[in-house]
Formats: sequence, C-alpha cells, structure tokens
Amino acid sequence: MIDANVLVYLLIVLPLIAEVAYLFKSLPKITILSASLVVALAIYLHTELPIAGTFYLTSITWVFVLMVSSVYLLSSIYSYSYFNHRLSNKALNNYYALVNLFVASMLFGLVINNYGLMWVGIEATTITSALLIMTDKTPVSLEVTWRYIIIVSVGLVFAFISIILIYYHFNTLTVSQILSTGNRNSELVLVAVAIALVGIGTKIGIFPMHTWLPDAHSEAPAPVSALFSGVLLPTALYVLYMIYQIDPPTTLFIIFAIATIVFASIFLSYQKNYKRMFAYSSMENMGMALLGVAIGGYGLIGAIIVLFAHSFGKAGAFYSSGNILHTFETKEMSSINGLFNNMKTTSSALLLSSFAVTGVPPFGVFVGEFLIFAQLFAMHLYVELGIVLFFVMLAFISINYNVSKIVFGEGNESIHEKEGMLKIIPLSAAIISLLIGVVLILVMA
Amino acid sequence: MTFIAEIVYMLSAFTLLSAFFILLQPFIRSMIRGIVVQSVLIGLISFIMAYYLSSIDFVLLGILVIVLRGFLVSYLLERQLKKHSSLFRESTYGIPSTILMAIVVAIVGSFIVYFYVFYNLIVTVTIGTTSILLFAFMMMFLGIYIILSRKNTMTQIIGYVEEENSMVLMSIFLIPVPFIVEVTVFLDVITLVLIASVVAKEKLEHVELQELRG
Repeated sequence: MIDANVLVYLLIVLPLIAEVAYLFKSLPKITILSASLVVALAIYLHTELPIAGTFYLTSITWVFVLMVSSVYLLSSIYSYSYFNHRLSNKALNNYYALVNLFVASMLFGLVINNYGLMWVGIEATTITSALLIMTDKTPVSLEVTWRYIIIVSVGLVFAFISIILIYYHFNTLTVSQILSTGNRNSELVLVAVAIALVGIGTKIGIFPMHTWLPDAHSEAPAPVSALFSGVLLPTALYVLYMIYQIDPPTTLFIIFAIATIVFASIFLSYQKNYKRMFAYSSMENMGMALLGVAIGGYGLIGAIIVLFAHSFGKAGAFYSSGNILHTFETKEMSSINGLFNNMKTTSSALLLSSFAVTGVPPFGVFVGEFLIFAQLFAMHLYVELGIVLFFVMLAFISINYNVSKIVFGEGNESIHEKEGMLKIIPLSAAIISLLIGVVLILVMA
Repeated sequence: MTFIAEIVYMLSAFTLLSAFFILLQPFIRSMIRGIVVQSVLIGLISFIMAYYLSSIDFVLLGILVIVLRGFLVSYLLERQLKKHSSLFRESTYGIPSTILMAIVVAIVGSFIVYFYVFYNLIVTVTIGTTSILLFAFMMMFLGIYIILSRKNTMTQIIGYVEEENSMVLMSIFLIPVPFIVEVTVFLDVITLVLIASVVAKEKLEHVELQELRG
C-alpha cells in the first residue's frame, strides 16, 4: 500500500513531470495526459482521507483538489483546439509549461500543512499566472498583467503580516497543530485573521480590493479565464477559510461578503463586455461563498457546493465566450445576437453556463445558495438575507437578460459553429454543473 | 535602553530616511541606489540581531536581503534602465507636495495602525519596545504611496521592493526568523526578475485605458 503522503506528492509533482515534454516540443499532449492522471489521482485520494502530516487534506480540501484538477483537464483539452493555428508551436509549449506550473502551485497551496507555505503557494500562482494573461501580448493585456501583479502582490504582502502574527502567537505555522490547539481566541489572532481577509481577499476579489479581477478575467485568453475564475479564486478562498478557522471574526467577514455581492451585482448590471460581466459574476459568487464560510453550518456546505458547481459553470461560460470571441472578434455584447441560429452548441453552452453561475434550479449553485440562505434564516439574519436575495436576483436578471440577447434574435448567416473540442468542452462543463445540482437534490431528497 | 537597542533604533531610522529619499527622487537610478542602501541597512540590522539573539538564522536572512534585494534586484533594474533611456527620469509633483502627502499617508496611517491595533495588544518585540514596529509600518505605507503616486514600471517595482523590505524589518522585530521569511525574500526576487524581464520590457508607462473602465 502506498503512503497517502506520497500520493499527494505525486499530485503536485505530476504537472511538473509533464514539463519534461517541453524539451521534445510535445507538451500539449503530455499535459492533457498529466491532467487526466491528476484527476484520477484526486478521485482516488478520497479513499485515503483524512491526511495530516506534510500535507493536510480533509474532505473539504478534497473537493477543492478535485475542482482544480478537473478544470485543469478541461482547460488543457480546450486550449489545444483554442490556440491551434493562433500560436506558434514554441508559444504553445510555453503556454502549457506555465499552465502546469500554475496548477502545481495551486495544488501545493491547497494541500500543504503549513500556513506560511500556503501563502507561498498563493504567491507562486501570481507569478505563474501573470504571464498567462499576456499570452496575446496586446497593449491592454500587458497593462492588465501589470495591474494584476502589482495589486495582488501588494495584497499578499498584507497577508504576509497575518502569517507573521500567526507565527508570533502560536510559534508554529503547522495547520493541523494550530487548529487542534484548544484556546485559540486572542485579539492578536483576530487582527491576523482580519488582515488576511484584506490580503488574501485581494486575490479572491473581495470588494474593495477586487479591481484587478475584471481586467484580468476579461483580457486573459478563455481557458486561462476559466482557470482564474473557476479555481484560482476558490483556492485563495480555501486558504482564507483555513486562516478564518483559527479565530473567526464572523461579523467582519459577513460585512465584506455582502459588500462584495452588492457591488459585484451593481457593476455587472451595466457591463457592455460579456467577459467582464462574467468576471463580475465570479466576484459575486465568491462573495456568496465567503458569506457561507463566515456563517458556517449549512452555510459552509453551501459555500463549498457553490464553489464546486461554479467552477464548472464559469469554465463553461468562459469557454463559450472564447468561441464567441474567436468568431465575432469583439467583446461587445451589443454587436452579437442570434447566436443560436448558427452556433447551436456554443449558444446552448453559454445559456446553460449562465444559468449555472446565476443559480437557476436545479444547477449546483442554486443548491449551494439555498443552503446559505437557509443558514442565514436559521441565524435570524433577516436583513442580511433580504439584501443578499435582492442583489443575487439583480445579478440573475442582468446576466440572463444579456445572455438571452446574445443567444436569441436575428443572427448573422455568415458565422459557423466551432468543431470538435471547441464545442464539446463548453457544453460538457455546463452539463457537469447541472449534474452536480441534480445529484445533490436527489441525495438531499 | 541598551546600547545595541539604540544602534538598532538608529539604523531603523536611517532605513526610514532612505525610504523618504527614494520617494523624493525623480531620477530612477538614484531610487535604485536608495533601495540598495535600504536593503544593506536591513541586512545590518539582521546581523546585529543575530549577535544579540545568538541566532544564525538572522545571519542567513541578512545575507539574503543584501545579496538578493540589494544587489541582484538593483542589477536587474539597472540593466533595464540601460535599454530604455526614456526610463531615466520621471516627472514628479515637486518635493513639498510629495513630502506633505507622504507624511499624511505614512505617518497618519502607521500611527492609526499602531495605536488602534498594536497598542492594545500585548506584543513583545525582540528588541527595544513595540514602538520599533513604527519604522516598519511607515516604510510599508511609503512603499504603497510610491506605487500609487508613480506611473512608471520601474518606480512601481521599487515601491514594491520597499514594501517587501518593510515586511522583513517587521518580522525581524517580531519573531525569531522562521524559514518562511527567507522563502519570501527568495520568492520576491523571482517575481521581480519576471516583472523586470518580461513586462517592463514592453510596458513602460501605466495609464488608464478605455477598455478597462467600469
């Protein structure tokens, strides 16, 4: 029997081993193989839970690991068709090399049993993902990359203060050790958790530290946006959750979560660019997940379901956006309509994905949001519940109204549906999000 | 206060002065020199703490800060500077207004953090009193102010290095340096190498873009 820690090592190392194929210029195919192995390994790891040693994996961590590995696989396959004929062989190899590093750093940040190294993992994702944003090397993408690096790095410096304070108080940074300490309540730790909210919150896209998020998501290539929105933000949220557990300042987290939902919903309601609109939708979903994490109980379960279902739904939305951008060469929503006439699969994927991310029943996000609302109700937080319901509804109407305008209408005869993986992957991602909801509803029933 | 504590306070004050010096420079090369001086000062503080606390970890940290932050980063920035003569000088808003704004941002900001957050907590520092943390806070705010007020890639990198330096200073005063601080020093250099070699090469000024509004 192989030691569970070795399996987790393998999980992080597999994307790095794949990098060897860079030398033989066959990285894209090897990456898809490595991503498939990572998904298989992630599924198998469920039998080994819980793991505490060099790594720290609970069933919650496992959901995040599965999320990262699945979107890694989907993005690897989609990227191969998406960049075909658009990037040179060398540029494609460089792109895949960065994707592998990016995923390895995310997995490292998730599973490591040390707050300091978790921070290192998150910082490493900034380094590896920054260059992915500027794959197209347009002036706007360069500006966005710069903003991303500067804003997130400054945020993470704040998060580092929090790590220093945690070390100062506990004299260790081992997650399992700190979480098993009996008396964790102290003003200093509360300050540390609050600073972590600002610092790591920058990476999650919590209002008002979110300014890099819509820029980066809208300018990055579609498969990268899917990785950003689908799994990078949840990975950062997981690290914040681990810090939050030490000594939770619940009210503070609730305030920031609700502010994020409110402002994201307002911002997305007047967007003209569909990728930017989906970026704000990610922010709104992260706000919802943060709210679930803050209130705990069913809210926590709801938050994890929201994140899991959202990762596939949002990946589907960005993949279909990629197809649309490929075809129409514009991100302006007003220039696109009648997509369903000629691009049936892509438009179905787009519609299903927008249903998925806005929490239409029976999609997974709906189940998660329902649990968060139920917990708010149980805690008698009626005002908070009312505000959140109103703004979630606003986001729901804005996104689905805009998407339906893109999908339905007269249409342009000269456009054609994408072939192969470009149409299969977006639809599959949206359907997975639907299945998550259906399975959960059946289980709960 | 012991003699060693007095020296550490004095060096910390010089570190803060170097932060003000960097802030007021319109010439990028002078700013880079300022960062070298600042990193060497932090390295010296680390060496003194190594002697004071008899800890070899501080020696390692000091060497890392001086070599990586002080020399490697400045070497990389200088190399970029040679390639782009347009980066030689940046127009600033004038010394009096910059100083005034920096005082408002740094001093007021750090005093609020210090008095409302740290003063109420029972924090013991490795040397002197908790007031020594003020140097780190002020430097952090000055670093952020440089990033906010300047539009040039180089100056923003320098602001970021200064902010990171303040973190190292704060961790020196708060905790017996764990492995993580050393990892951070190393990781930042990787970030900066990346930034300096890839982004800065193609994007020298940062202005608002119509596409990124809203």
